[in-house]
Amino acid sequence: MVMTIVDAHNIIKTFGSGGKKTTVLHDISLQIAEHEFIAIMGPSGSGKSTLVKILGLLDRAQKGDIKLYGSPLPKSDKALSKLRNETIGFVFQDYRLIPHYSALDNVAVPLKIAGKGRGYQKKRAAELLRLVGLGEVLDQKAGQLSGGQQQRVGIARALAMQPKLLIADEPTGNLDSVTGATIMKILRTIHAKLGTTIIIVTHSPDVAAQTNRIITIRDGKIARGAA
Amino acid sequence: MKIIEYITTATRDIATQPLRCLLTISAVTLSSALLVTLVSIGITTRGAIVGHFEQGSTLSSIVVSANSAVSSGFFSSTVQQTQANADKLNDETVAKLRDIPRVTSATPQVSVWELKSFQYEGSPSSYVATAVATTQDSLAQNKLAAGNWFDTTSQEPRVVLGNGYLRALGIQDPQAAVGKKLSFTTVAGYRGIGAEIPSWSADKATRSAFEQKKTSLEATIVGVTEQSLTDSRIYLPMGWGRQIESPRASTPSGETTVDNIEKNGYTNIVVTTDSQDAVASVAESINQLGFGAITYQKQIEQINQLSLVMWIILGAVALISLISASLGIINTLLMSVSEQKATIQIWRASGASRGLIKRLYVLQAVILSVIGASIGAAIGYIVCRLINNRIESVLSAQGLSSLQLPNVPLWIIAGGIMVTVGLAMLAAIYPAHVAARKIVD
Repeated sequence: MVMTIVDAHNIIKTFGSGGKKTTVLHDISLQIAEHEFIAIMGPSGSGKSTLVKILGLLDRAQKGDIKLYGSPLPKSDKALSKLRNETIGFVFQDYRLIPHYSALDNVAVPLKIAGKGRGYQKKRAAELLRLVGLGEVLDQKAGQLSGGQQQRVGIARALAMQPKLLIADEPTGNLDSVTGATIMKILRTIHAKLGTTIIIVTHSPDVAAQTNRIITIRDGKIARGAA
Repeated sequence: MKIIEYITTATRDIATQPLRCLLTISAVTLSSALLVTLVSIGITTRGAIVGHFEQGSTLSSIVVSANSAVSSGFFSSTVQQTQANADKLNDETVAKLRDIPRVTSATPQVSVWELKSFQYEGSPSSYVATAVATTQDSLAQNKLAAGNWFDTTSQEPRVVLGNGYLRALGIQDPQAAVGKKLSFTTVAGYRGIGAEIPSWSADKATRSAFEQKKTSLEATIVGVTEQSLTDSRIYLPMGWGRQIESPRASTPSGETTVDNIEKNGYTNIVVTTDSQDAVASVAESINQLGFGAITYQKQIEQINQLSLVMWIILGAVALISLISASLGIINTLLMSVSEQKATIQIWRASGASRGLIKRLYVLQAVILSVIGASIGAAIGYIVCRLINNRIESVLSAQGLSSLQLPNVPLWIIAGGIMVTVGLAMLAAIYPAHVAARKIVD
């Protein structure tokens, strides 16, 4: 039986206060099952990134419920952070690496937070960097890597804690088409081999076409693909 | 996250801004050095002064003066009572004081100000002379390290050297000083024994030249006191002291002499009691006789009060400096938070709680302050040592080596570091809070 990882109901997210309130997400409900490979599309400012931040436990909605594996989210930041560390991996459009850390150390960040031993951190980070084809640049500073290499380090870092859900916010947005294709290939491989549920936010129909389900958001509402 | 990971992560983040961190550490270093130095000076000076009294076993002593003016008050003299008394201190006073219960001795003393400086036999240096003419009672109170006491009624130029001078004179063995000569130089215009006073018929120029003239008086050291470094006085027999304190004048009918001790009385009388507990009641009895009573216990209380005020002022100066350094830490961390926004977001997205981010920033402040405070404490320690050595050498050169400044206590160094680090941690709270609230966008 396929389990639902994320079950979001009537999510409303508003920014600002007083008379300058802007509602970004209007009553969104969404279910994401295990092993899905989903693309979230929509024009700029439609609320895609806000939605994935809420689904990825980086932000909270003003209204609505989110359940992870059927359980409501914990209230405390500490418990929520632990859940995020253990369950969710993030890949960003601008890679978000620590430039003065080596590739290995960047990948080890979630492992450090989880309190894993030094030896395990090193072994696991090296294993993941080899998985994304960066076995030769383990000790190179992140700032010295190319855009494509940096994004692969970002993917390796997102996989460090063997997350059930990987959220990639425009992972190919800053890359040329060839490098972007390589990144998509890596993500498809991860989905196929590891069974990780992946949500990709993208503007690109080509990228979206490589996923199993496309959700389109317009003006903070799901226009298509909610279920 | 493990403690070692916190430390390595915070250290690596600090290392990304070397110049800024160096400047922050410098500010912390300066303020920590100031804190350790100022507090040390305040505390060790107090300790040295109080120790001076305690080492001299003078806590059971009372100095009696004829003038009992002045009284209580924070910065006032230590004289205990304000009763006016025109009586001078004389042998009758000594007898009255000896009759007070629990008084074991009453020793009259006269400060011989006419003896200004002295040279030790064979030494080219000149030292400040603190000469005290004394009577028989002091013989019982002051034990000798070498030689013998003089007959206090003697008019022979003999002296007992206070042990405190030995260091300045470079004498290791007190016995070596016995038999040596001291050559005193008097104040200008000295008219006591040994002075060649001008004839009553001398012209104005001769008289004027005499007023500028200093006389040399030679005396033999017959003993050295035992009282370690606290005794920087030269004891004279009262008989010889009386001759020095008796100015002569030439008149047509012959030479006249004024016995100033007889005329003005003793400078003071040192009363000792059978125990420290008796000091207050004996001082009260002395006051009732109409004399001033200066107790060393009271002096210590006053010194303690004064040193507390001094300590607070010095501490406040150091604290202001520390607060400035703390503002530097706040600035450094806030800039770091601003510049490392992306890094903070990475940590948050990777599962770091707000508490973890806060701890990382507070730890950065701790690392900066521990480095700065440790260097500052070391500098403060060295500065205090240099100051102490300088003061000691100056005092020793003048034969005033009784005020021994102790080294900086370890607790001041440890306390200085702890206060600095504590303030830095407080300073880090706001930047850490800002960092923890950074939103991942």
